[in-house]
Amino acid sequence: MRSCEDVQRALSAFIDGELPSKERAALRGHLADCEVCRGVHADLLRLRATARTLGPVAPPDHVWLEVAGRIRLQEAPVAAPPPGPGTVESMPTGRTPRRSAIGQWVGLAAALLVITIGVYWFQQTPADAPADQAATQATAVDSVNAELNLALQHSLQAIGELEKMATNDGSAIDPEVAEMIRQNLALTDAAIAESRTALVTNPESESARASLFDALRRKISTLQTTVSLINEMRQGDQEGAARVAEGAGKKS
Amino acid sequence: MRLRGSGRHRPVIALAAAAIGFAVAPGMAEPRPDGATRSQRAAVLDEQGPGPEPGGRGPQQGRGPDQGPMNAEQTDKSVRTLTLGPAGLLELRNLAGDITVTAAPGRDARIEIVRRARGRTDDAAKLGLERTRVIVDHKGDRAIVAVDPGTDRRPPYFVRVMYTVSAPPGTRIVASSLSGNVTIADIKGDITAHVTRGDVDIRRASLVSSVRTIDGDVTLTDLESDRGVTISALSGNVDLQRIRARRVDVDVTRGDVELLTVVSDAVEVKSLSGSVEFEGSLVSGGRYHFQTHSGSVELRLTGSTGMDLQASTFRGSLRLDPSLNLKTPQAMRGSVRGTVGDGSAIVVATTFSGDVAIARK
Repeated sequence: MRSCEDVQRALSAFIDGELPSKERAALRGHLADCEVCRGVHADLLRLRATARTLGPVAPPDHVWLEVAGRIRLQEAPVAAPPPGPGTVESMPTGRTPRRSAIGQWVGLAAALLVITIGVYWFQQTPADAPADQAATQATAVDSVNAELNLALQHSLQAIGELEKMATNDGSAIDPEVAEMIRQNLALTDAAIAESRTALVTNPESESARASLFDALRRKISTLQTTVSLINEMRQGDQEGAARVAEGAGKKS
Repeated sequence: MRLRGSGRHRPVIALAAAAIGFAVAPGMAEPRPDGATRSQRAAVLDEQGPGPEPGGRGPQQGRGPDQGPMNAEQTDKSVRTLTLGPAGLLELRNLAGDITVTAAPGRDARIEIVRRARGRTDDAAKLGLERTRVIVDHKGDRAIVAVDPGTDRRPPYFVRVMYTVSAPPGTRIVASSLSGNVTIADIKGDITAHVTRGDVDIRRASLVSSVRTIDGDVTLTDLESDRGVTISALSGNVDLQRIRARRVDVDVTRGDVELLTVVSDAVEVKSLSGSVEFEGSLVSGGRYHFQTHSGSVELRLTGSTGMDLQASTFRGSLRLDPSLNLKTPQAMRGSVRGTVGDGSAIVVATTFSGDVAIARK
């Protein structure tokens, strides 16, 4: 296990104590020397710590499933779609180092956003809550809000990487679909900009926060869909491209 | 995607302001290992004829060195009957063309397949029919019907394939198309419909697991389901009417969402650019979350279930019907929270730049 790609892919298992001792030692050695991987490791630890701050008021199950699923999804290799009748067998697909790195950013950003959103929406102080309960919950929310900046950083990193891929490879997409995606991304950018500006002047605004969370999630999701669509179309697997519709708008 | 109403929630997007620049270059042939090219694929996806196809998307002009209208047309019609039993699985995969499914008594699914090829000459259109095949793979109670577009590098034809299916009501349907509409009626088996470019219309169904479009509207009418329904569209309006389901999730980036006469334990509706309307009754203990960035949120609540209500907008106005009788309201700028009745349901309605209106009907 020498490359950053290998290390980052194994980090979740490392944190969960699921790595064999030999690999664990190798990973520790890598972390000692690599600042980037150390950073990702620290972020994952914070993610887990954040999850623990949720306390007794847990977000609904699906939030956790989304978090777990997202992280695992980013770790899993991209499987080639099975050839079926009437299909053109596609090229074997594998995770490239670049996609893996993007996956880490996307995974971290999405997980942090989902947790932050979960806490934000489901741990808000009820209108009639006692003062001490309200204070406890406010503290928990504050601690999670600190994660928002981190989530934002990761989101922007993921968005940047995905945008590069979409820009470089976009010619594979049907022009009308490409145009529609471009318009949607522009809308999403506008929403992100509006929300961020609003939060500068009014950091407590619930609607601005909600819009920012949603727009960031949506942009990542749209770019992921775009890149998947590009990959499928490039490989000539039109049915695979149809399956990409499964990811359109899917919650991150 | 059709435009709804005045379209006031659809900002005009300047292309120059696009976040990323796709280097779209129609007509460029890109080789791939199996010999087919993007142009070949595009020939299946894009109509190049002189006029719009019924039920299809608008035509595109011819491209490449052989530009010109594809006026010659050849059509082939065939029918396959498959015995799937009362609860079989039928997967319908299409590239360009509509899929229509209705229920019929019995154990057999009848699939009418119409292939319509267009070319600049009759020979080209005939070649399209020869090269573009529909393959049916039937094993037991499962069948897959799929289009094989062939491997011509630069086909001088465009082929649209229409599936018209009648199947036992309990049949499970998985329908997918890159370009074309999907219409399903009276099917009580589980339904999944995924379309890249096209509309989805499902009526009188029992189980709808997932409906997704990248560019297309979604209409669901008269659904009675004990499970969840997940609908998403990158660009498209979503209309749900007379829906009873355990959970309803709608996620749209650009489009309006309208839920009329909807009853569910959990409703989550999100749109980035578009209005959100909900008319229905709340369930005690249920959670209801409505959010849009640029658009209004309007809730018309029937019944008398109490709720813990949070409503907020950054730039718009909040209008709460006095008959809601909001208790212990906490109001901040652009935000209000309080309890109605026993507060047994949770309702969150938020928009950034639109209005929020909540009323009893």
